[in-house]
Amino acid sequence: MAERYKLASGIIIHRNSLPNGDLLISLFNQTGKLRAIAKKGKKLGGNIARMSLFNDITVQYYQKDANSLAVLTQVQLNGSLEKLTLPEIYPYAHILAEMVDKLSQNDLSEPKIYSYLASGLKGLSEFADAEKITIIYAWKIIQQAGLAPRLEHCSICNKNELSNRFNLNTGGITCTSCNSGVYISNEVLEYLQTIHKTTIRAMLEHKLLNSKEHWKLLKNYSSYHINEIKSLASLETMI
Amino acid sequence: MRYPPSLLNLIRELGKLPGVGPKSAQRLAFYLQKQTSNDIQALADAILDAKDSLQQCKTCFNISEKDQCAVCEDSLRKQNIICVVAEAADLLAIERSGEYSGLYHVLHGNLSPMNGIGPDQLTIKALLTRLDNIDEVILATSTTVEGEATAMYIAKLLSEIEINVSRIAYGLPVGGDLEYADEVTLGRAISNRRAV
Repeated sequence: MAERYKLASGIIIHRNSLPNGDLLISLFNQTGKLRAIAKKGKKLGGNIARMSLFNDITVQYYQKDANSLAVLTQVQLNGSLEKLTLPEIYPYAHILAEMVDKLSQNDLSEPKIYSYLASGLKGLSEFADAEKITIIYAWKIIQQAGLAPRLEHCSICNKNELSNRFNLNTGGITCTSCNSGVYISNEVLEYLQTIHKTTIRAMLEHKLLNSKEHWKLLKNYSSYHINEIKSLASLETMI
Repeated sequence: MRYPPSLLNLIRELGKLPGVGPKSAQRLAFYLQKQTSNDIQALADAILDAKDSLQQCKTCFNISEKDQCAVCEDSLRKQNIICVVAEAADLLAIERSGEYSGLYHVLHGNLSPMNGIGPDQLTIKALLTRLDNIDEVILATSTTVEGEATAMYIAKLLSEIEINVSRIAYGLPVGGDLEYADEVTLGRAISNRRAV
């Protein structure tokens, strides 16, 4: 007989309050995404403080079968990053969490994406340059999800003589003969190429230039290849 | 046997209400079907009347039947202090406490970029226009990550103006035992302790 009570640990990447006092959370870990409901989770004195967005928790849940929604029965807090609520960091944390939420599937193992999310959120709460950290981790997450842009060869004809045109439709840079797409500067192109070739630790040493252009490209690329990342829109108003 | 279309439609509409699942909707539909036409008419009228007459207060964005809500119209309340809350229901909760007699400002949500809620979707700009002759702003958004971030964002905006900004206290519920408190609440209660 299948065990109906299970344990899972992970980071809360989405939290939705329902009008009847229940909480609907999305927990992301190495084995994928778990959507679960905490009955009367908004009630004070229960587990509400543990079930805050971006918290790392372990839960016991009850799930009748694979198609039904998991019901949380116990919650334990493993860690929380309080600095993520700071106005200069908060929207960046949302970008990473939303991106992972939109890229991940239930029960699909994605240990590397989990590791990027966990270290990205930790990096945001510990380092000064939230903008740089978010851009690096966002592209790393996209790369790990198998949607990395083509930056070494023309994304249309595979030639090597690259232009400064990025074609969203073909998902990468184009050559001087194909020459189609939006303009990107040499600094942004080189930065992106380095992100995809090197480690995050090494990447943190590189200076981020033309950040507005980076955000524009990330916004357009993710809208085309993933889905609209709503958090990206809030950057203009919150930062 | 299939339900008659009108009954099915009623169950479907009732099922859209928060906290009402399919079974409860079915139970309510059967209950309503047994009521007199007058009672049903009174219920329908009450729903339509509330929908037609309720609006947001033009000053504080509380729910009101007039341009100004009862709190904003009350000249006996302290006019130099504003308590910022996320929802009108939070305002009513604070009013029930009987401890506050100043003005309010309802934001109608908390900042949540992943849900498309930024500062422009809230009434933050309107709050900034109300600060003449105000000595203190109390940030009474919830203590969730979203509520905390909203409070910190508003505090950052207000730091450029000479005005006292305070945040509601964190801590244990009155009458609660320490051993049953979760570690986050207890940690906050310790770090935000006060002298006695």
